[in-house]
Amino acid sequence: MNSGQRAELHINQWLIRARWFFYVAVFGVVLIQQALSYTEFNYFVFLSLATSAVAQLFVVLLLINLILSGFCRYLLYRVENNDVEVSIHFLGAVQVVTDLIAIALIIILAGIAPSIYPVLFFIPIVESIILFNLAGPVAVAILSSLLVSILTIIAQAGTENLTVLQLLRSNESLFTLNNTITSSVMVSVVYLISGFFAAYIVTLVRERSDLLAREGTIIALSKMKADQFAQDIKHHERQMSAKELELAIAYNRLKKLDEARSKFVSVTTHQMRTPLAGIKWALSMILSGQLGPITNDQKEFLKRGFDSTEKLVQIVNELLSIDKIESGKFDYTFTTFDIIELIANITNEFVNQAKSKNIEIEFVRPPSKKLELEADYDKIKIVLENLIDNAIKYNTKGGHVWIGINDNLVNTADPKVEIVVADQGIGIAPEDKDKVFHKFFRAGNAVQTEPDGTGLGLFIARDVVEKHGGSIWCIDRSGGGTEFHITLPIHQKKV
Amino acid sequence: MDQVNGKKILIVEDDEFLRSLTAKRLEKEGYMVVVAVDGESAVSVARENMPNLILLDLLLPGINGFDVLEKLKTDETLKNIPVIVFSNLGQKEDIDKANSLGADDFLIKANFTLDDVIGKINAKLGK
Repeated sequence: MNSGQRAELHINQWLIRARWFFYVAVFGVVLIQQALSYTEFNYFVFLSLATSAVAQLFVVLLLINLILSGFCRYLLYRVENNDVEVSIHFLGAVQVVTDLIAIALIIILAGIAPSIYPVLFFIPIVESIILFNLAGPVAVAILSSLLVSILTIIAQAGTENLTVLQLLRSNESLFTLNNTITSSVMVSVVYLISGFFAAYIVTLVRERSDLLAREGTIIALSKMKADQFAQDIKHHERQMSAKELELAIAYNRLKKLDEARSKFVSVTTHQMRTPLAGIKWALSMILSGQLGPITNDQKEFLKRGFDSTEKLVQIVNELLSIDKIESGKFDYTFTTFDIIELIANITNEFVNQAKSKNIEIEFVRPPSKKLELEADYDKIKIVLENLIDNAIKYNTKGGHVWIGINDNLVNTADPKVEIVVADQGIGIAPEDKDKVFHKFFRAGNAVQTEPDGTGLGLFIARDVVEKHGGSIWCIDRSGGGTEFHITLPIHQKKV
Repeated sequence: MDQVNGKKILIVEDDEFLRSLTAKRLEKEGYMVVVAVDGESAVSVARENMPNLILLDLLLPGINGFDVLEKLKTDETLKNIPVIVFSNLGQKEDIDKANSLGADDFLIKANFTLDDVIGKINAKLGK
């Protein structure tokens, strides 16, 4: 873990910095002590001080600390560049060992009193506590106490002017030696206990800081994720805004196109009506003989022309209806009227047309005298006219057309009326039974019978019937031909 | 056939062919016919001649038929003359508008023959 290693290196760095002060302080005290032992202070005194073993040791230690400092920086550099193979423990160990040896040498060279030894050796122990886990302080504690004992013995040998070996062999010195060793052991025990205790506390602290560091990274990661997420959302928002704009533009264009188309259809159809009216009137005037007698041949041809014009008018009207349906401008006004009367009127309208094709048209009246329902009068009229017109158009010569009303659904929860228009005509193939209601669709056999036709009539019929909440369908008539059924609800919901 | 029945009809129509056809047919039926070819002259011709019925086209140059209709129906002397709106506009809004301005009937030219029109006029004038 990079941050852990970095933290450890920072501790090492701090220690190296502290060591400057520590060495300067200790050596300063020692050198001043030595200087004070001289009565006179002149150049030679200074020179001898400067070249004394203590001063030399001081310089060497300063150099070592410099090297340590450089080494520590080098390790830090390696860690910053994510080089995980760094062994920071080595640096720490070198520091502690250096201090142990430094302190031992200072004691020997400067002749420090043995009572201070334990205090001085606390320094490496504390160092090892902050640098290492349990093993380090224990090792240093043992080493320190050993050193204390050894140095005490050397010091005592010095005060008694014996060599170490002589001291160890002398019996009376053994007693004080015993004391010394006992106090050394006690010192070791104190070192060890305090070492354990401090190490334990340091471990706790380190664990805590590790935990915090881990949590810190987790939080940092979460924040990164959240930032990324927010960015993604922003990105999607922008995309959506762009798409919304695109949609709005497209919708506007479509609306404009639709309006333009609608305008085009209505303007052209209206424009077409004027000349159509002119042709129709002119022809009808001639046909009626008001402009003079006409021969039968002339009459026949003029009649053809008149019928064609009528058809054109019908097509124009249908186109207008379609346009109104498509642009939603087909207004429905519901009024209450007698459907029986309406059908009777329409049937009358078609009597002449049917006769001319040798077809019988019959309205089969229901038992009730009157059957009122709520509907748009004009539009239902158009629908019924269309169905009857088809029944005649696609009928066989001499065939029959029946129009009937079924009122057995009137007195139910959902009152409706069923109208049936039946013919003996060319029929509708099974696959065409739904298609005939599609815009511009004309069945094959229909085209053969009647080449002209827009294929719009049933489309309009279905739209009208469905807008009334009813339904329209066709089935084969048993005995040949087709039956068209329409259901219409009696009542319309108030919008 | 060519008898004069004493009733006068004003035709307001800008299309020359349709106008002459209509006039011819009306005269054959024995009506007297006066014509106006645009909106402006319609009102003045009506005032001058005081017809028994006015056939009014909606698509006119200058002021349109609705405005003429409004003028006719708000004029004290002219408002009682029945007006049959005769047009090739057939949208519901147009029909409603005409009715609300006081038209007596609304016919789409292309849907009727002149004979039908004559029938309606005769009915309106109680002949």
